Amino acid sequence: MFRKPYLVVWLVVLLGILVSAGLHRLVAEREHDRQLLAFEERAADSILAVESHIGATIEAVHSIAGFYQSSKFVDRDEFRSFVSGPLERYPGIQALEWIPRVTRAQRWHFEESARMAGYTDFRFTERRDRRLVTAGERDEYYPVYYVEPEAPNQRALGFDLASNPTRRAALEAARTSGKPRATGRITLVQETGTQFGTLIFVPVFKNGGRLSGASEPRSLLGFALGVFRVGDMVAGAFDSNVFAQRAGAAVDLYIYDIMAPPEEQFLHVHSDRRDGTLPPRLDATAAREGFHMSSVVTIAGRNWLIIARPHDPSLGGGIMPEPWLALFGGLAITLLLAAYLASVVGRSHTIQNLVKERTRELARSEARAHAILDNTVDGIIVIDATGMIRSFNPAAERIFGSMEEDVVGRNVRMLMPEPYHSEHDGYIKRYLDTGEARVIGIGREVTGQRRDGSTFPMELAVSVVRFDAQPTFVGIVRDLTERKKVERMKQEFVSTVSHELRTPLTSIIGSLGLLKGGAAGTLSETAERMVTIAHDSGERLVRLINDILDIEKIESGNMPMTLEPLPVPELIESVVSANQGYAQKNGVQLVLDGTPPERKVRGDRDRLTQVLTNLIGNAVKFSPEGARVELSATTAANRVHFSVRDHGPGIPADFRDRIFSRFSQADSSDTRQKGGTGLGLAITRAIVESHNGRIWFDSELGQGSTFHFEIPEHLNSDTEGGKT
Amino acid sequence: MTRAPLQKILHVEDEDSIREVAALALGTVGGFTVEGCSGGAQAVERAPAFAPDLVLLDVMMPDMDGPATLAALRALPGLEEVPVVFMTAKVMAEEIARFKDLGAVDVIEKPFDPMTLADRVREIWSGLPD
Repeated sequence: MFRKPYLVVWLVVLLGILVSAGLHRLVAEREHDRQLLAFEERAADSILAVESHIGATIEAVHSIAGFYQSSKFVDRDEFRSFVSGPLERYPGIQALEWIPRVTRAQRWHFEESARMAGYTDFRFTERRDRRLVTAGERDEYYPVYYVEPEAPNQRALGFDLASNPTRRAALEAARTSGKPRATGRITLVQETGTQFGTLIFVPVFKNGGRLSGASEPRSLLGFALGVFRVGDMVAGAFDSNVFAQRAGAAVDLYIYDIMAPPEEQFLHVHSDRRDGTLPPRLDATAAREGFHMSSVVTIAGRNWLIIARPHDPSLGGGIMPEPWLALFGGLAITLLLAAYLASVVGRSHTIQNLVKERTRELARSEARAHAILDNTVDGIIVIDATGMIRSFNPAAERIFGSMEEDVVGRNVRMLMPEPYHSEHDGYIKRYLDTGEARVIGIGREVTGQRRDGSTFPMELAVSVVRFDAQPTFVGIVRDLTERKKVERMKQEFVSTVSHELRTPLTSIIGSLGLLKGGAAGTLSETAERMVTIAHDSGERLVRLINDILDIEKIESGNMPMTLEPLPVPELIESVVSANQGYAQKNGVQLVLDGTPPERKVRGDRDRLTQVLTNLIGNAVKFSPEGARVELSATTAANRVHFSVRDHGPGIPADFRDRIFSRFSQADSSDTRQKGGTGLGLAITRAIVESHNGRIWFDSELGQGSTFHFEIPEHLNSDTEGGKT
Repeated sequence: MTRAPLQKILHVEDEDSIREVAALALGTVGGFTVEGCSGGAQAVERAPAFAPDLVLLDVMMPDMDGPATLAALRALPGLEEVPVVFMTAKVMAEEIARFKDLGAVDVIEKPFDPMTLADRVREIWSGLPD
């Protein structure tokens, strides 16, 4: 699987994984940034809403202070009607109160006046041992004199705020600074839930003027007091602001009083979690860990810290779908791409393998062809249509003495002596133009020229092969030098042997002839008989030698033959007359059957006479005394057909197959009896075949035999003579 | 026929036994005067003195063969016109023509019949043009 072609697939997979991972990271960061931004927007919305709502809520206290400042006297009803609006609008207001400064001397008057107004049990109270009791004697009192709404706050009416340390501290701070001051968190008297509250005191001075110094407590008329529930203020902020409403779903809002000791700083936590879970109650330090947005707002001299935190504290550190979508999407695309590539690569790999295999096969077949070319005994020369040599095998190198690299690209003429050298281009052109072939498809003996300029006989056969319609000539060359030499030696041997045999035979026959002729005196009858036998045998030996020489010459093509048009009747008649004497001597009638056609054959007179004489001689030899030997000649299909018929014993079946072989006679006794050499029919067939003819026979035992031969008729009477 | 009868024959033949048979056939049987030579060189040496009427010449001989001897003899004074008959083994028609081209008047086939050889030579002699 890790084969080279698949490398690209693996690279794509690797790259795809890297890109997907990078994309995942990028999208995660983007998403985180987006969420952070969204959080920050919501946090800012919430904080802003809470700040402004708290600001608006506590404004109610300020407005009471302004009301007192601008009025000479505010009775209980006026107060009630003045605060009814804010109370209705701001649910975070637990109560709005008027806290007058009451001296010891004024206490009775105030208590009495309230009782007169219908609050019959009214008195100044203070908390002692967790119980409300009548306030003790002191110089100043700061009682809750007016309170709205009245019903839920009835128990607070008359309560001397200066009697409580927390309240007293705020009160003192407000009086001293002349500015509104809030308490730290307090658990409200009226409160039954879990929320914390705060009290804000706004000092009201005589003459509408601001407090000129803390040393003038007498100019202080009292305090406008607001009692606020932090939880309800925050809830009111979210309820009254659409942005905050939206933000509240994603944000937890923590509020701390950072001027208080750490354990008392927590004021409230607000949440609108959809899943209904409650946010953890964190201290101010813990709330500032992780993602958050904070703002410090000064509320009546106290610094409140507002912290917005996301519901999900990791803010996108958890599972966000987008980055994972990017990762898995990238991986899926990578996988698809890799699969596609693998299939493409696989297919191309298969094709490559196929091509490789085919190439290998081709190379093998070419190597095979080359091996054949390289190892063949014959020279093989390939040339193109311009005569340029294209290839030259090792045998050709050997024959011509030139290396392939020296001849390839050169004209094939360099391998030929004159006149072929100059004429060769013409041969090719003529062949291509007219299709006239001299050597192509025929094969003949020509002369070649070696590199050193020497010439030699060679056999050349040329065939034409067409590659892409371009004719290419393939020449097969065989050096005939050796064969010629052998032929010459054989010829010389034969003629030498025959000469050497004939020389003593000439003496033997001559001597025996002289003896037989009486040149050495009259011989006895027995001696004469013996001399005759020796003489006849000598003569037979001479015939044998002559026949052997003949057949060697004919078969080796060295028999000189003069082909000429021969009139058939003339040939027949001369043969008949020449053999008439021999036939008569054997008591046989030699007759011409039918009239020979007035046609001509193309042949060598002496050789054809020899053929007919041989056949007639055989027929006479095997004819019983008084029998006929019939000679006939006919024509058919441009051939002349000769036949010699006898009425002898016929040819034995087991002899028919080898009748034309050398030294073949029906049985060995025939040789002596008939005086033949056993070569007559072999010579006859060789001559007939050298005339492009054929010879055969039919025979029936006891009935006789007929020998047939036919040779081409000479058709064009205008061309006389000519040698091959 | 105005031609003088044939009397002297120069026989050139490298084979002794054949020369001897021929001498018997031509001399004893035929009645001619025969001078036998064993080769071309000897023939050239003896011919001027012998002054033959006719020469019988073997074709295949070592050193000088028949045609060479013929040429050498014809080059001798008095022998420019001497009739020469080649004696050779079985011959073909075209070989006879070739020999005649060389200057031979005829060809006698070997082996010859010693009893008729003289008659054959006489027949050739009488057939010669004047």
